Amino acid sequence: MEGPIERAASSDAPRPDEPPAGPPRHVVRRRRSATATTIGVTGDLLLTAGVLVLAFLGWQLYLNNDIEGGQHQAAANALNQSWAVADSGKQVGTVAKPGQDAPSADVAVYQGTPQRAEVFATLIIPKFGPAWQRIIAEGTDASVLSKYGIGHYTGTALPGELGNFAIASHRDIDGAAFQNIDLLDVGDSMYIETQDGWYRYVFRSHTVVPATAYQAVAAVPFAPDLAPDDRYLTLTTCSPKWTSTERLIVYGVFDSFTPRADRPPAEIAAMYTNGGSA
Amino acid sequence: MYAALWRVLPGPVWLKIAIFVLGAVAILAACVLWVFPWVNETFLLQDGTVGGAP
Repeated sequence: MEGPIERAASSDAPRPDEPPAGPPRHVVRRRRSATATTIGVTGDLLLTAGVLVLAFLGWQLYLNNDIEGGQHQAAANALNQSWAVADSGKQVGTVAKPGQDAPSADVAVYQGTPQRAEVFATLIIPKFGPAWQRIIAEGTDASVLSKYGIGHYTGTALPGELGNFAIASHRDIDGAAFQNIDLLDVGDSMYIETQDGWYRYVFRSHTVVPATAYQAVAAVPFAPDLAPDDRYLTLTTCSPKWTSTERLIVYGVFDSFTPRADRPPAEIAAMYTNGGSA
Repeated sequence: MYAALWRVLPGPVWLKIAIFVLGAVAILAACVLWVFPWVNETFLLQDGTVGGAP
């Protein structure tokens, strides 16, 4: 019973007319010296800068990777759906069942020359998840990699050509498409999809090289003087994680080509049966 | 700096805290939307390519 009565009494008190009890509130605070103020403000600014840097790292290394990775995946979905639509007119009479593997002996060679920043292919790595795919743009300069995620080394082979289809991406930022390529094992599939169909490459090896090792993307990797007699896939990215001191290289060797008319290979067919949103 | 800001803010403590939090959220949002992408593009810290991009 005491509580409510007390509260009522205190709220009834005429606040505006309340005489100042004791000294004014601000009297106790003394003016700080200029030095103390400077030190205090500097400390506040440093703390603020630290918080902002941490926020930037959180954005760059986590939040933005989810955002950009999702955008690049959605763009890849849209792209291979547009290819499927463009191709549907030519599919009359095809007998291949959905998901049936029918690799053709003939390997389609990419026709035309992709212009800088043109998105012309997608990369599909089933090990990274049932829906994992990313777009590949032409060129490996900083603006292409930051906008499109994965870039194709201009001058290296195009899909289907003899030689080395070499692509680069960031390890930790801008979608971080190649964040986990160190987890690939011998035999893992990597698909390059173009308007012509699916090129399956099989993971062969990792290596770590200095950033200057351009031989990694030679037509025959690390044998720049040899003429290519096979098709290779090379992925390059930063190594170790979070740094840019060396490059992690992933090699794949060509396994088979599946023309678009034959439907997607069984391993990745589920990606296409539900609108690509698996 | 923050002490001075705290004194300048109007209202009771809960309102001061609300204004503080709102301001912090607004600044962070501006960073995420505009400042961080600009910093990322302007001061690129990483490069995943070998041999220098052609």
